[in-house]
Amino acid sequence: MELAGVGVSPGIAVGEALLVEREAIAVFRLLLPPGELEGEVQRLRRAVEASREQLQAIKERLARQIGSPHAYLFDAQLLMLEDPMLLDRTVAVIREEHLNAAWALRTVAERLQALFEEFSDAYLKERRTDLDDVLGRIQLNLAGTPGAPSLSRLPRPHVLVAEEIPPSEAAELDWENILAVITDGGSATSHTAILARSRGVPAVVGLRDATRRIPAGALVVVDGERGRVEVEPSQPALAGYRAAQERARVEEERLQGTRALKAATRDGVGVRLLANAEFPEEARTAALYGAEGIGLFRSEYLLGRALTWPSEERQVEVYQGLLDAVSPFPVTIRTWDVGREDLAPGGPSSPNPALGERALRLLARDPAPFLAQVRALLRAAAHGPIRMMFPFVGGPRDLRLARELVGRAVGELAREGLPFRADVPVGLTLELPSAALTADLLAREADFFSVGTNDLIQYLLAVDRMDPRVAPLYEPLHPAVLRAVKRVVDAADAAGRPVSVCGEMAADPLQALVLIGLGVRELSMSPAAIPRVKAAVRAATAASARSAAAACLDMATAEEIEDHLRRALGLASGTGVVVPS
Amino acid sequence: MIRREVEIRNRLGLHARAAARFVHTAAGFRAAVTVTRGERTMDGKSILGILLLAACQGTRLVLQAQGADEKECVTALAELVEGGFGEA
Repeated sequence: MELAGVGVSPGIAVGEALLVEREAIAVFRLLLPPGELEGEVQRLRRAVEASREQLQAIKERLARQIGSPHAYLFDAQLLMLEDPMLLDRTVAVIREEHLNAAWALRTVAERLQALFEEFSDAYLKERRTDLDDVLGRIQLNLAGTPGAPSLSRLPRPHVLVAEEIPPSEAAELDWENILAVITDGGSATSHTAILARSRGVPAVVGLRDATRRIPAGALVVVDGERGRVEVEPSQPALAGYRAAQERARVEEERLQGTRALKAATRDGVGVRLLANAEFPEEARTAALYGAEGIGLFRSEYLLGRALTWPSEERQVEVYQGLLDAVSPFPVTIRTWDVGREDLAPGGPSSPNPALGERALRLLARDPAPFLAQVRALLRAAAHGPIRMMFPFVGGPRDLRLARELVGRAVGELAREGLPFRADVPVGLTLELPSAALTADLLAREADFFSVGTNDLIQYLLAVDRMDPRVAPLYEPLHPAVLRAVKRVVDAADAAGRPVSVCGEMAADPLQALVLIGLGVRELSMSPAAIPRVKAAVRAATAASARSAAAACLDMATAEEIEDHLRRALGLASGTGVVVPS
Repeated sequence: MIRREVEIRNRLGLHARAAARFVHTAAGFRAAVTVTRGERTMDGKSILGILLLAACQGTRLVLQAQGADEKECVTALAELVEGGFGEA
């Protein structure tokens, strides 16, 4: 069986599927060695014991508050907790099928839940709520018992199969033990995809029903280049994949060897290759791959799972840590790029969050978090070269708001006598069509531009890449995109402002070359993409890139542009990984 | 082994509270208890089993117990059921 999705992180992986089900918490199926089964039974018993103590406490509190007659519902839950139909059967499944407690419990629960579903009686149907409540509680306690296998602590390497992976969980995944990630939803710009790329872990998203079609524990092959997933492949196909994997590994080693090499075209035009980072540890990865600094640090990770604004002190510490990791190179930090929906999930949301109240638009509501961040950036700048980048700027008025904020922070810090730098470059993420059209005006007031192609493409083409039904219309080489980039680069050049590109386009060798052809001299990408782009830069000439780009500006469709670029720049499709058919 | 047929008298039938009282009572005896409704037999010490019998008012159930205290056990359970679980 072969499934087709969108490849978002290249590479081939072969391994056992780890099927993640999302209930109250993530639950997955693990085969355990016989020696660990009794320990697993003990973990189940401890979780049940903990659940009983919690329920008992709730029942007593309820009895005190509203009287014992109402506490009886918890009697039913307490009895369910140790019901032989639940507990004894779960223990039997652990022992007989060698499964982890969480999955064994889920298997037993599914059968029981199905029995409850058969009832026509609404009252009895509703008892399922009690059962679900009890099951959720045991699962939570199981996850909380010491030694519990979790997605941040896997016993051995697996291919992760999930509907979606929320950003907070993606950050804590046990990446060392993840061979590949495949999801039903997601997109190339989802956090999981970004992290997978920065780790060099293959990923395929948008598979729609992979979690339903891939049995837990199945052997799967993930081809992150072509966006394909093969379940239980035939022996010859598997041998082909393994050979391709080996060739890719050799290629990766060769690329790693390019770390010390300069990123310059054959005709001597230097291109600075920088890294995008979301987490501080990625800054170290960036240095490892030979990045000449961080071109985009997405500061939102600082909000954490709790979605609370971090203190100024903590921010200073994190920003200085980034500087240390890539010293002596500069770090460009993007200020809060969050929407109202991100801050209060489940709360009131804009009809269209992508066009709603986000980033600088939240300034009017509450300037405090923005002021704290700007202050932290100015203070950290005393430690090393920092650039401050404001996202979602739609024109000069927005940039002036940002400048005012910086002015206010400078005034405060000067009065407080804290060490800081007032001359931190202030630029913007050029990602809105309105900013592209006013690039000449913005260039008069901004110190630099960084073209955020992911969002620029989305807004220019009115395509939401998260929506698998229109994702194919997301065309980085659409004539509108190239023309917008051209306009921005020309405006920046005329005003003598540096311009970089920090979207996914920078990480694609072909697209990177067309950007260079359009005059871009700074590209920021996920760290693992740097060797590949560097190899492409070193193999090309700026002159050929320039003439190819010039020709593309007169072409009508993305297909024509791509064909022309491939022919003119001599790049084959794909990036060197040969896949068996 | 002791066997006795009973009828559910209370209006709500073997709902959560009644089922909980039934299981609590059964658990107080050492005898093994089963409850049968038609073709379906459940463990009398399992609340899930009792709930799954879906016994409403008027349902006839067969109680069976086996063990040292089987007689007392069935008597106590039968009284509980036929007494309508002390409810209306």
